[in-house]
Amino acid sequence: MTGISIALGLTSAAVIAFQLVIMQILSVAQWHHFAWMVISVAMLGFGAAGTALFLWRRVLSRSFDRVFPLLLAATGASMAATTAVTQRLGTFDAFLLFFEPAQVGFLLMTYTVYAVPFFLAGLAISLVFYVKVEGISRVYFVNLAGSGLGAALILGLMHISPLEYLPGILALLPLLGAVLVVPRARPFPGALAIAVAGIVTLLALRASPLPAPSQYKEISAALDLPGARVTHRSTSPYGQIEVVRAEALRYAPGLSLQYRREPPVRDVVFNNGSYFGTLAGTSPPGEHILDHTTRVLPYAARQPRRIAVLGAATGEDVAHALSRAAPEHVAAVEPHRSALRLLTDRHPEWNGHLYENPAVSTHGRSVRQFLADRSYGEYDLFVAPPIGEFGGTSGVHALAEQYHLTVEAFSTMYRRLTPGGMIAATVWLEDPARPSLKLAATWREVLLREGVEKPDHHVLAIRGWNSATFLMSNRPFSDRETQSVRETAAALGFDPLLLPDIREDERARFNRPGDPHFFQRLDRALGGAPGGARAGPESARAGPESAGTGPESAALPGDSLPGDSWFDLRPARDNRPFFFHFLRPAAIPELRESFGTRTLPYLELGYFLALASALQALLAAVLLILAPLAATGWNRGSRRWTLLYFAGTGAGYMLFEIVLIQRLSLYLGQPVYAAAAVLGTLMLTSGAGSLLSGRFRPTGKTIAGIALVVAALILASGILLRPILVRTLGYPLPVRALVTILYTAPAGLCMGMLFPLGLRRLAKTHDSHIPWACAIDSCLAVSASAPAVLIALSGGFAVVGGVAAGAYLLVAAAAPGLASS
Amino acid sequence: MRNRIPACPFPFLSALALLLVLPGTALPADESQFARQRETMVRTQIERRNVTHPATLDAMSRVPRHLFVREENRDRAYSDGPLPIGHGQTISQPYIVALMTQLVDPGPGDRVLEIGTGSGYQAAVLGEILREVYTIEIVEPLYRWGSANLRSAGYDHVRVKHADGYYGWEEHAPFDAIVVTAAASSIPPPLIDQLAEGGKMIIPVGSPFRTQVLTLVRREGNDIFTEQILPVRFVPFVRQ
Repeated sequence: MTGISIALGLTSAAVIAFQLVIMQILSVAQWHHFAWMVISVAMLGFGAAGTALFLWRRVLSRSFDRVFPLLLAATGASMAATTAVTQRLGTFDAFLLFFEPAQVGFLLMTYTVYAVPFFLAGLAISLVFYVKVEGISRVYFVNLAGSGLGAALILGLMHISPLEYLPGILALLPLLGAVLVVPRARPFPGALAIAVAGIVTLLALRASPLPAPSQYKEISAALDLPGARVTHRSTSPYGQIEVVRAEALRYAPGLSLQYRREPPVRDVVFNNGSYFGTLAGTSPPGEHILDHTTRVLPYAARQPRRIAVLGAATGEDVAHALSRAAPEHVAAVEPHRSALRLLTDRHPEWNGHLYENPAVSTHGRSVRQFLADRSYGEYDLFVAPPIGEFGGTSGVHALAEQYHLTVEAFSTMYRRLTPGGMIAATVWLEDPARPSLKLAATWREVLLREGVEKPDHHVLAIRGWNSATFLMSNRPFSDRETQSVRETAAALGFDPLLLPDIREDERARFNRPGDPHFFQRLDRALGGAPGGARAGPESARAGPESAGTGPESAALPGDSLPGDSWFDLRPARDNRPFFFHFLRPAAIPELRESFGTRTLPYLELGYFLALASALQALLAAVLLILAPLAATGWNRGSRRWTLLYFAGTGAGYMLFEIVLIQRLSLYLGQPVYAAAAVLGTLMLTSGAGSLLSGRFRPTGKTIAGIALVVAALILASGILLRPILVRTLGYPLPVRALVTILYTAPAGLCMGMLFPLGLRRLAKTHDSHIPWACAIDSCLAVSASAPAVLIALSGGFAVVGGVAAGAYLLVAAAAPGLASS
Repeated sequence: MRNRIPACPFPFLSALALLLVLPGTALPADESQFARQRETMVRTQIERRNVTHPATLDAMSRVPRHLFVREENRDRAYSDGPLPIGHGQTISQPYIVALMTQLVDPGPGDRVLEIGTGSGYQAAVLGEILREVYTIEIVEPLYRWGSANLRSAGYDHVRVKHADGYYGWEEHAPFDAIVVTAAASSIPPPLIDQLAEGGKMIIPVGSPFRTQVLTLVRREGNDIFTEQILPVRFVPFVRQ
C-alpha cells in the first residue's frame, strides 16, 4: 500500500500542477477565458474516467497490479507530449472561431488532447479508490494532500523554470509513481511502458516550444513591426513577461492633438502577450509626455507633494509625478512583484533608474493591501491605474475582478487623503460610454458615504479625443482651481467634462462624443437618481440646453434616455467586483433591434464565454453522468441518492473553493497566491478530514450531521468571519496566513469527511456505484465553476456561498438514502 | 440542389484546364455571380444604413472585393462582416469601408493618403473615385500582398509604400483627406501636419484588438476638432 500511496500522491500533485501549467500556457498563447474553457472540459476527463471505470470495473480491478503502473506511465507521457501534439495537429485561434468553421475542429481537437492526461490520471486515481475502498480515508487523504502539495510545488517551479519545460518536468512525477508500483514478479509490460514514457518525456523536455501567441494578441502586432525583437523573457506565477523593442513603438497614449513633437520610441513590456507598460524612463522637470494628455489634470488643479501611484506597472505615472515640481514622496504600488523586481533589482537601467530615486518607494503589494496598511501614512494624491483599454475592452475583462475600483477601495483611498487630497482616475473612452459612467456613480456613492452633500463640487474631469481623467477631492474645488483646469484643457485641445460651474457650450468644443446623451448620463451618474433628475439645484448642469449634439438631446434630465436599461452601471463592490461587466442580458433583444449586426460592440465576450463554458460543461456532465444512468435505470437501487449526494459534494466543494479564492484574492493581494493558499489549505485540511472520517461509522445520521455543519460553516464564513478579514487586511503576512488557515480549515476538515464516508456507506450495499460516484463528484466539481461566475456576476459572491451551503444541505438530505436498497 | 458534372466531359475538362492554367483567378461565370453579390451588398448592407454619397456607392459597386480577400474566403467576400487577412488584421466590413469613404467626402482633384494598406481594398475604393491615392503599409507581407491585389485588380494609379505610416508621405502632402485604417491609440503629429487646411482624417480609435470608435478629425487653422462617429464592429477585426 505504501508504494501505491506514494504513486497516488505524486500523480495527484502532478495533475493539479499540470492544470495550472496548461492554464498559464493557454493564457500566453490565447486568453485566460479560453484557457478556462479548455481546462474545464479537459478536467471532465476525470468524469469520463469514472464512467469508464463504472463500465469496465471488473476487468480493471482484476488486473489492478498491471494496469495501475501502465496508467501512470501513460499519464506521464501524455502530459509531456500535450503541447507538442497540439502544435503538430494545428493550433486553434480563439478569435478566428468567429470566422473559420475549421477552428471549431481545432478547438475540439485541443479539448481532446488536453483531456487525455486527465482521463488517464483520473482512471488511475478512481481505480485506487475503487480497489482500496476499505482504506478510502487514507487513500483520499493522500489524494488531497498530493493535490495541495502540487499547487505549492508549481508556484515554486514557475519561478525557476521556463514555462515550456514544466509539462515535461511534471510528467516525471507519475513516471516515478509508475516505477514504484511495477509488480516485481511480472515487470515486463509496466517496465516497457515506463521506458517508452520516459523517452517521450525526455524528447518533450528537449524540444517543446510554447505555442505561438495568437496573431490577435498585442505582442503579435508589436512583433510584426519592422526590426521588432524580444529582448527579454522571464516566467513567474504572475505570468510571462516579455520586453519588445522596435523603432515604431512610440509612447503616446491619448496624446493631445496640439502636440507636434515626436513621441519617444520606447521598449514595451508585455505580460502573457498583453500590454503591461512602456519603459518610458525619466523626464526632465516639466517635460513629461503625460503633461500632454488628460492625465495632467491633478497637477493642473493643485500641487500634490505626497503621491501614491496605484498599479504603477512600469512607472509611467511615477516618472510623471517626479517631473512635476519635486514631490516630497512618490509611492509606486505594483502587485506584479516579478515585474517590479525586474525594474528595481535586475534591470533598473531599463527605466532610467526611476525606482532608485530617493523620493520613490516601491511596494510589491496589491492596491488594497497598500491602502489597508495605515503605516504608509496619508497622501495628497492617489493615481489609480488607467481604467479600461484604448477604445474599450469589448467585454474581454467582464469577468475580471477589479478590487481597486470598488466603492470600498475608493472609500479607503478617500480616508487616506490629506486635507485637500485628491484621487485621479483616467478612463479610456468607449462608445457607448460605460466605464466613465460607472466611475461617476461609484464616486458619488463614496462621497455620500463620507458625508459630502454636493458630490459635484468635489469632482472635476476633462476629456480628450480618446480619454477622460476624473479627479475627486475631500475639499471642494475653488474657482481658481477650476479656472486653471479650464485653461490647461483649452491649451491641449481638451474639453472640460465636469466642473462645479461648467457651461454646456464648453463641454464639446474640441471633441464631440458619439452619444448625444453622454453628458446627461454622466450628470445623472454623479448627481444620482439614475433614470431621474439630479438632486439639488446643481441639476441645471444637465438641462435641456445641454443640446448642441442634435435634437435627441432635448430630453429633460428626468426623462428616460434611449439605452438607459441596456447597461448595469451600478457601482462595483467587493462582493461583486466586476467593474467591466455592464451588459444586462435582458437588453440583448432590444440592442439587436436597435443595432442589428452592429450589436457586437455592445456584447461582452467574457460573459458569453462563461455562458458557453457553462453550457459545454453541462452537456459533457449530462453525457458522462446520465448516460450510465440511462443504461441502468433511474430507480434501481438508490441511484437517485447517489446522484444527489455526490453532485452535492462535488458542486458544493467547488463553489466554496471559488468563494474562498475570491475572498482571499482581496485578502492576500494576489489571485495566484489565493488560489495556491486555498488549494493547499483546503486540500490538506480535507485530507486530514478524510483521515479522521475513518473513526466514524458511515451512518446516514452521522453524515447528514457533518453536512449540516459544513453548510453552517460556509454561511458563517460569509456573515461572521468576513469582518475579520476586512479588519486584518493590512496586517503582516504571517498574521494573514494564520487567519487564512483558521478561516479555511474548519470547513475543509468537515468537507473532506463527506466523500470517503459517502463511498464507505455506498460500499456496504452498492459498491458498483463507486466509480459512478467518483464521476459525478468530478464532473460536478468542474461543471460548477462556470455557473459560479455567472451567479457572481448577477448576485455577487455571497450568493455563490449560499448556493454552496445549499449543495451541502442536499448532501445532508441524500445521505440517509445513500445505501438503501 | 448541387451541380452535377455534365454528362459530356469536355466542358468540364475545359473548365478544369482553365482552372489549372489560371490558378487563383475566377471564372467568368463566377465574375457575374460576384457582380450580383456586389450589387446586393451595396443595396442591402450599405444603402440601407444611410450611406448616400453617390461616388462612394458607385465605387463600392465596382471594386471586386473578392480579389482582396484570401482565396479560402472568396465565397464570403461580399458577406456583411470583416474577414481575416493574416497578421492579426482583417479586411473591413463593406459598410465600414463605405462609411469611412463617405465621411472623408472625396471630391474631384482631391489627394488622399491611406495609412495601413492591408488587403488594399479601401485604397481601391478610393482609387475608383480619385486619381491621387497614396497608401502606406508597415507590415511587409501585407504590403506585398496588398500591392499585388491592387495591381491585379487594375488600380495601378494607387501608389503603395512600405514604410512606417507614422511619418505620413511628406513629398505628396498636403492631403485633403487621410484615412487611417489601422486602429490607433494615438494620432501621429506628422499626419496632422500633412492634413490640408479644412482637411479631414478618419481613424478608428482604440486598441487594434478591441472595440474601436470611428473618429473624424478636422483641421481648422491651428485647431483640431474630433467627432466620435460610432463604435466599430467587433474585437480585433476592424482593420479597415
